[in-house]
Amino acid sequence: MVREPVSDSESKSGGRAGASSLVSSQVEMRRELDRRRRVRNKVPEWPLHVMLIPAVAVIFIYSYLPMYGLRMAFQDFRVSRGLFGEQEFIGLDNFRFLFRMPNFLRVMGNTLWIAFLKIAFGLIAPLVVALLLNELSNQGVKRVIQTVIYLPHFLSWVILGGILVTILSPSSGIVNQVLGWLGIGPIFFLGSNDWFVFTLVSTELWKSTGWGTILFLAAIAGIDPNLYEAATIDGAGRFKQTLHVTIPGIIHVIALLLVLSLGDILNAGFDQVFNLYSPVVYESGDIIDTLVYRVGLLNAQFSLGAAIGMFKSVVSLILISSSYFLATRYLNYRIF
Amino acid sequence: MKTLFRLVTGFAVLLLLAAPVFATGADEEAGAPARTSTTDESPTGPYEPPISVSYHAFHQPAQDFLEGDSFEDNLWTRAYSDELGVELSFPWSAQSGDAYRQRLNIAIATGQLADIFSVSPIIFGQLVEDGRLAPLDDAWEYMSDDGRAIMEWSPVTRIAGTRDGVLYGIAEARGPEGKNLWVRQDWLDALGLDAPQSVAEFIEVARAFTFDDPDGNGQDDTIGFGISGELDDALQTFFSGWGGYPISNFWVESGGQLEYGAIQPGMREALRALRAMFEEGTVDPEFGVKGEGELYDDIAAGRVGMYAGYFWSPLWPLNALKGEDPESDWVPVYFPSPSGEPAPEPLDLTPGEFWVARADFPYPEVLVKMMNLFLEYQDEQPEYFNQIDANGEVLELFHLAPVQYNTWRNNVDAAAAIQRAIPVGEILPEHGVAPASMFGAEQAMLYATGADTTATPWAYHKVFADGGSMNLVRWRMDNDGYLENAFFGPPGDAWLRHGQAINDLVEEWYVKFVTGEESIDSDWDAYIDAFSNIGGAEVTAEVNAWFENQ
Amino acid sequence: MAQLFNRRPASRIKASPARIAFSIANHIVLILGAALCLVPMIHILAVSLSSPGPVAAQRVGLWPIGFTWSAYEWVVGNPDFLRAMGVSFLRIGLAVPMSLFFTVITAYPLSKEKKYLRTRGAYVWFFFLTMLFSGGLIPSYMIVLATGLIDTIWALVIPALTWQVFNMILVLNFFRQLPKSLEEAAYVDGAGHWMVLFRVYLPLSKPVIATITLFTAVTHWNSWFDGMIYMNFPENQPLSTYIRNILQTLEDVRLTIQDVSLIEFLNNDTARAAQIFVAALPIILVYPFLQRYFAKGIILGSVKG
Repeated sequence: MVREPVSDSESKSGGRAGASSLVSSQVEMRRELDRRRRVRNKVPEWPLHVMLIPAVAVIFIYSYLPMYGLRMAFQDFRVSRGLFGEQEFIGLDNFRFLFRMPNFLRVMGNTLWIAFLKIAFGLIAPLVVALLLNELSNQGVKRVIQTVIYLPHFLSWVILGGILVTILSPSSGIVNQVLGWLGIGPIFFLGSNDWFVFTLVSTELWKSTGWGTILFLAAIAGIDPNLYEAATIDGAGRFKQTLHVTIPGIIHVIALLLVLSLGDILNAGFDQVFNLYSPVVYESGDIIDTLVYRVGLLNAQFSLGAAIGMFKSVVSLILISSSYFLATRYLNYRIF
Repeated sequence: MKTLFRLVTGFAVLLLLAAPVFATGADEEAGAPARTSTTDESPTGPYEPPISVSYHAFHQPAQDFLEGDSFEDNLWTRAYSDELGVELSFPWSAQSGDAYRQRLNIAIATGQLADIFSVSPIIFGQLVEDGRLAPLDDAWEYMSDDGRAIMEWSPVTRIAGTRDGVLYGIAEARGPEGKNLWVRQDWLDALGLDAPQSVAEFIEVARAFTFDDPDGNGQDDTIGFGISGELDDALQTFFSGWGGYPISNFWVESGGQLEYGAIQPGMREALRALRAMFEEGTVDPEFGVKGEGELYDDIAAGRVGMYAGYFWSPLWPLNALKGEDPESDWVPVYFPSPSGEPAPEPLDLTPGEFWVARADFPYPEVLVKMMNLFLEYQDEQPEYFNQIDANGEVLELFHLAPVQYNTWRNNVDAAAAIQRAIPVGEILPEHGVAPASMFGAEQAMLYATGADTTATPWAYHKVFADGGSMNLVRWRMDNDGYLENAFFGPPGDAWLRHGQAINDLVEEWYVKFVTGEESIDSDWDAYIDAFSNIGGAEVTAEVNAWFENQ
Repeated sequence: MAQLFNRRPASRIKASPARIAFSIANHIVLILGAALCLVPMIHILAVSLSSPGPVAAQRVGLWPIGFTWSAYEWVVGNPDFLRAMGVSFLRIGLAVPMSLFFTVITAYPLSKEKKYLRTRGAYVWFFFLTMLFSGGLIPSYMIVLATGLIDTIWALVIPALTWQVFNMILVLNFFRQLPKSLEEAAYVDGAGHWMVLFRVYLPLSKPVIATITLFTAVTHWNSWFDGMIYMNFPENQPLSTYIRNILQTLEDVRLTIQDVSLIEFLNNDTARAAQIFVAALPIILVYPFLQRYFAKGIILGSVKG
């Protein structure tokens, strides 16, 4: 493979030199290239490969070797025949069964909608909160709030489910009492198909926003303070600083999270839905994972599980890789 | 595109590379070893020389031990070793329930089965078909008379463990769980009412419990009849009073054909009754989102006047309320039915677990011998079941016996024995309280003599004593008060494929009918159609094909 | 380094009324939000400090009723709980340093331009694909078994290295933001890649290292499934698996009348709450401890210093 000069930095140095004479700029460019080549030659590539050996080995052994099991998706897998036994290959029958389940369309729609809302708000809310936290001048207050808002992340949905049923009850729950004072009639958050998705998304935000801010706060911490100084000198107020320094400074994290979270478009959050839903709200709240779980209760459905897993993985792969290639191609921006 | 192509190719190559690594695998079942030990014909005759037997262990959370004991070495393992010449070991141990099932599936799929283990019906069926289990017909010959009696009471148990005429799995005989109506006695007293015996009285009591402030706190905070959106097991008896059976894979015979229980006309009538109660507010308006757990929370908080419970309900959750409100009291009664007779309790006695032996294990009868020892100790060795430690805490030791073989009948017998003892005022040997039930008997006695009337003694008294829940179980046994599932074969392919959709459908429509979201009058046919369309028709055909072969 | 906070020119701007109004509103919003997030924790704490009776009767909200330490006394004296906690600490102690090293030495080469590492693209996708595809439970178990890790603490550490891919991507993105002039200067001075990674990159990367330390520690502390599957005996299982087992029992319990202690166990909401609280406490404390690495100005300070 031919090593091409990287256009970006070359043109920059070339451009700067353009002000002076053409000859000297060419000399300078050559010198610069020489210097770089020397550096590159002096810094061999092989240590980089050495550094990658542990990860390649571990990932190959513990992630790739087990992918042998992906073929279960095309089998009528029975544990009693063993992982290496003569399993019956049934082609795409598992997928056919999956897509022809009586409620599949409804469940697919619910999954996409819930996951979409969670992805959208799951990005926006932590970003906004991180920016707001960043505006707090008192470091002590900031740290306390940061620590407190990430607490719900440590409680599992099994525990939170019980608490939520109590506080969201239309007759006795504290939330509806407060709404009552405001003159808003009791809302059946967990029992109404009009409200259930709202409840899922808002409780998810409540649980995970604080956790989500961590990454943004770390990214904000990585911004070069000189940039703020420069902005201040240019007369930018706090809001403009946020707009022109902070957000551009963390845009790579935002882009990264956005692209990766596209992969979750079929993951609407099993644990949460499972602990909060009931047959009344199957219509709006039943998702692929809960449906497959219930089917698995009657039958040890390894193959169905593998099929749904593969379906989700392929969809994620398509979404992520197309957004990755689009970003590389049109924005000249590599996400990873 | 080129990149994507490379990606896919690379991925495929990796997978191909992975395949041969797996070719070296299973190490189980390397040829059947021969028997090298002998044992006599007697139910608990020892092996000479001793044999070692592995099993897959499951445990309860918070298992009690005697001082110095462990899962590996405890009074039960020593008993098997001393009496039977069986040295037990287990390659792993997992909490019973989901963790055990997952571990067992792995062990099966990776060829690492222990000699004996316990397995769920579906996997049991697969293991039999794939020839991985030992036939137990010869082993059965070692069963003691007590053990045979257990199986005889419930022929379904034996049928379920048999495939093509060969016995492969031995299961504990399941029995009725005493699914009846529990009513707040103290509320009845406060309002001057009697426990309901007819549907009209039931509705009347529900009204009074809802609207007449039975707890006297001046607030409208009580629920007449507590139900949950999960279609609680115990509520089955309520429905069966009308002739409806919203139970997974439950079938009734009608005109020489089997019909699904949840689409019976009686189901519609029962739903109408619930719907009427929902409309007037005597069932919880929020029941649809509550699971059994939330219902139990309401009960423990003293908000519920009646609910569908089990014979063990006093032990949970009624005891929780009793602990907080010592004045609270409950009475179990039969669910009334429109005919005036007590509603029959639907029974599905198909076992949930089978004890089995690996196909090439040379001593499958050791299973039966271990069961025999368990049964023998049940009558003779109380210290193997429960002990009281130095702090007065109960040590529950019987869970340590790896192979248990038991019958729900113990509870009926215990109730009879306790009822013999209570008039005497103390428990004497001639009352015949089995050691395994001794703790409950003592507790009930504490309550009966007035020595201790706190929650735990009260709860055992409520189960075992006269007027308690076991009396209702007993009465049903003597008076044909049960209705068994007309289908008792292994679940068929159609059921395995569509069963969950059917269960979901029934549960979803149950809530919708009761809350009025769907009309029982005009949408009933849509419900029946939906049942047929999502696989009900297929399952019905499959079940009837089985029925014709019976 | 502390004085560097003040380099943020905030203090030099005169506070306008709009600014003050915003600041007050901001405080109110954040504090209310924080209060909302505290509610469940306080409820669990209140339950754990109450007598069992009021708890069973659902009377305990945010304040203990019938205050008692007995649940905590029980937890502290419960050998199963303490042993499980020991396993968790050991796991964290091994897994966090290993994972960090593993992630950093992987992220460094991947952060290089293609001209330095020609096969970069292949490597990245090799790692990335494992975030999407997984072979499932049984084959994963087979591999852990074949590599001899079953029922050892390493079963909870080494296979879990595969979870680091997301962290790798984070770190490599962070590395890419670092000024290239620094490393080139180091190369000119004769430094190799290892030297550049540990002497130039890492000192500049404290915020991202702190972040992935936190992520790794929390993931390991909370993950229960591998403990359940890869450990053969309950005494080797970590705290998360222990807690999961406690909560699971509530879900699929069918009592027999002989289950005296199981019934007691089920009734014991206070002990359960105390265990949940004590189990969450150590990991909650990690974040405040790491927060100082999230302070601003680190990069500047290091570059200049």
